[in-house]
Amino acid sequence: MASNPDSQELVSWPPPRSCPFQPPPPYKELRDRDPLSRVRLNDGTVAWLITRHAYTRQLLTDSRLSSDRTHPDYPELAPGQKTVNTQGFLSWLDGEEHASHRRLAIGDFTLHRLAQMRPRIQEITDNAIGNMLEQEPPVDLVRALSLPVPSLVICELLGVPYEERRFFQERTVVITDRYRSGQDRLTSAAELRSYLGGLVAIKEREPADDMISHLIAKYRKVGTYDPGHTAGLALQILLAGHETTANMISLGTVAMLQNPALLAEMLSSPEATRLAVEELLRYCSVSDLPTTRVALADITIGGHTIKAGEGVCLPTSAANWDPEVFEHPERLDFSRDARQHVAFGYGAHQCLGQNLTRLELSIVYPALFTSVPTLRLAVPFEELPFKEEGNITYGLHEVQVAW
Amino acid sequence: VTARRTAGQVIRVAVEARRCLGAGQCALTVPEVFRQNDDGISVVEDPEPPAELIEALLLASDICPARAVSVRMEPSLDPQEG
Repeated sequence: MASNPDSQELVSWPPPRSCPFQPPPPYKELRDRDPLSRVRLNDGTVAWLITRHAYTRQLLTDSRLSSDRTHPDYPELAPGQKTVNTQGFLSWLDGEEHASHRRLAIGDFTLHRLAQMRPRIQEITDNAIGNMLEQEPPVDLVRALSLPVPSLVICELLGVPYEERRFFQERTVVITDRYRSGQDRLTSAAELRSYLGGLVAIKEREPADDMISHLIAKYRKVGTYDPGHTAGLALQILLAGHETTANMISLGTVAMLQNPALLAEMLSSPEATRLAVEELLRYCSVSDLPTTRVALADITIGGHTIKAGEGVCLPTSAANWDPEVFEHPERLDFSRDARQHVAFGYGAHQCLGQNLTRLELSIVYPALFTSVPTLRLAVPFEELPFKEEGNITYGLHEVQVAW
Repeated sequence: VTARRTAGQVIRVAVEARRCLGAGQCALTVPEVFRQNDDGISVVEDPEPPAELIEALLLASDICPARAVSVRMEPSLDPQEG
């Protein structure tokens, strides 16, 4: 991409957060000046940064913006992003090709289907809390609760046999571990892909009532079954739904420990919990960075023209803190119905597992705080290790708690 | 005048199944009117819902990521309305 003559004055993207529970400060400054701004990426290229909720939603439903991360002009978050094996990844596809795969997967995420999973998710959560309470505090909440719950829920969803869940969980932890090298994380992802490939082969012969079996049957019915693609789709569901949900569990727990009045409000009724979950999703916006696109044609919006071949960054925390839609966005306010947030993205790629995440969070928060009413941070808030640069999703590496 | 009508108007709700991508936001927001079928596609259970649901219906239409939900106010064709 051509370099911009003004690029030396441009904000670098992604910028760091200065306050752990607020988006990076430049988002507000840029929104006030011009909600369509130019920013400079790590590799020096210039891209558009969108900081207004209305523009973010408009652009994320515009078919002239592509999600194809292999496109030469795609705005790259991290070096090597384009070399990952992404066969089967829905978020890399556009248009009808994307829709044809997504439609086969959504049957396993319907509200009816999720309601059937509720008792198992409750059981998984209660077991994790029970195991945590058997340990001598302080305990790392991330390892004890935030990571195991979504990992086991995804095992349940995909149909990973009980005896293989340890293998599965160990690798899902490595993928999120800041002390492991990029190579270790890639190796773990590759091992999981290979494992899921084996699982797909088993489900071909012995189908059960799980997502992988359902996908095989549906792909066969329409005549497009490809085992490698099915394993890749399963891997993406794991990668998309694991660390993100874990981050929400950790951040939401810390936010509640800092706000006892809000915690009481959250626990007051199922509807209050629903509102709290929605507001926490908006407020934390953990999946802030992956909403990027590349323009395939010129797009005129907000007095600017995004030219074909230009990258577009649409961080969810910028849209979710737009005061035009969320008055006093810096206030964690459970009395607002925050459903217009774009914490799960917007448009055709909006998170496939969003309602599963809502269900998990609405189970985990009340279960934790009612089972462990004396829960507290075992370290000062200021010392909590928030995920800063180098992470695709925002969250906490570790939360030492006691009770 | 029944609860379905306001000043001779009727609410008409539709989901464009071809566009629907199964996010389930409409069924989550107004379960009285929308339901996800087993394939994840939203169907309208009550195409002329009562007026008191209008705000929730407009929200459902607004947050649909596939822009597949339409909510319109139309003049009632019911002759009894006068």
